[in-house]
Order: sequence, then structure tokens, then C-alpha cells
Amino acid sequence: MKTLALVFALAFVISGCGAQLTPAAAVADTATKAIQSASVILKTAQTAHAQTNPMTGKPVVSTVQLDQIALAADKLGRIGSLLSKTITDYQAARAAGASTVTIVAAIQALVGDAMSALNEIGKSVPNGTVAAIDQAVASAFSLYAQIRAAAL
Amino acid sequence: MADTNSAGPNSLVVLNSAIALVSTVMPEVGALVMGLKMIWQKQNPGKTDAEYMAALMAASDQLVSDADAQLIADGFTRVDGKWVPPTPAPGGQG
Repeated sequence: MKTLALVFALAFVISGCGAQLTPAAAVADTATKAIQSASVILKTAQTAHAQTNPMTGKPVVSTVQLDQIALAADKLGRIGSLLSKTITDYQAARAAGASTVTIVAAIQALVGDAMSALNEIGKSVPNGTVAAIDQAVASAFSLYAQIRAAAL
Repeated sequence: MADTNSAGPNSLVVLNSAIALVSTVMPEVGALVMGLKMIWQKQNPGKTDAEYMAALMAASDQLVSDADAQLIADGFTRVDGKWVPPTPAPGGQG
């Protein structure tokens, strides 16, 4: 009985420790996953560009589509860098006891820009062209929606 | 700015000590607790906030680098912070 109590006590302590990322770390971690999804989209598009659609005899993803994805990926990457810097500014302002309202608004604006860039990918590669791209776009959208809803 | 993850390395040291103690006395319980520790570590790898920012920066830089390599390979040039598509060759099919 003592053993069981000890196990439950440890499980309680462990589960309590699990969800203690600071809000800034949680946003950065989620944003990292969204950026990694964008990397998957770019690599998948590059692979699909090298493959020929047997029905049309043309690449599965055309050069124009690949370029549009690369432009959106470039934009997403730059937004990610800016997001990292802005979250660091947020932490500094918070530590100094200064207002974070403007910085939080800037973070939300960057997330909005990231979602627009993902929309561009959605438009350039219609749903169903490459299933892995559809999935990665949906995954990245979901991650950015989490950041948008996060309480900083 | 010591705003580090509150469940960081110190928590892990305490946890490891507890697991070592339990494992010595009761090996079966130790195995179970090890499993729980793996779940804990998966949720909370014990990184500091600065490390989360660095990971975001590294992933972003890598994405920019890969995307830019593709655009340059396709003839794009970056002018005043904007990507300019290649000019179609005269008589080309564009």
C-alpha cells in the first residue's frame, strides 16, 4: 500500500512538472514547430518538382509553384527570426516591469503575417496536388492558431 | 533576465535522485517511475527560455537559407529586401 502511495505521489509530482513552460517559451516552441513544418513543405515541394506526373508528363509541382512556395518559405523564415527577437524583447520588458502591450500586438501581427504566407502556399499549390504539403500547411496553420490564442 | 523554465535542470536533478532512491529499494517501481520520467522529459526537456528562442532562430535561419537557395537557383535576385523574378529570355515561352 505504501508502494502504491509512493508511485501515485511521484506520478503527481511528475505530471505537475510537465506543463511549466513559461508563456514566452511555449510561444517560441510552437513557432519553432510551425517553422519546421514550413521546411517540410519546401522540401516536399522540391521533391515533387523533381517527379513527373504520368498523366500530364509535367512535374507534379511546377517551377512557378515551387518558386511561390520558396518565396512564402523565405517570408516565414524571416518572420520566425523576427518573432524570436520580439519574444526576447517581450521577456526583457516583462522583467523590467514595463508595458508589454505593444510588443504583444507586434507578436500577434507577425503571427498574422505568417498565416498570410501559409495562405499563399495554399493558393499556389491547390489542395490535393501533394498530400504531404496539404498536411504540413494544415499543421502549421494549427500551430500558428495556437500562438495567436496564447496568453502572453 | 533570469526568466528560465521553472521545471528546468534543478527539477531534473531532484527527480533523478528520487528515481535512484526508489530503484534501489524497489526495482519494479523504479522501472515504472523511469517510464514516467521519459514522459516528463518528452513534455519538458529542461531547456531555458533562451534555448527556446535560439531554437526558433536556428530553425528560421535554416528555412530562409533553404528557400533562398531555391530562389537563387531559379534565377531570382534580392533587391532592396525584395525578391525579383528572372527576366524571361526574348522569344522565350515565359
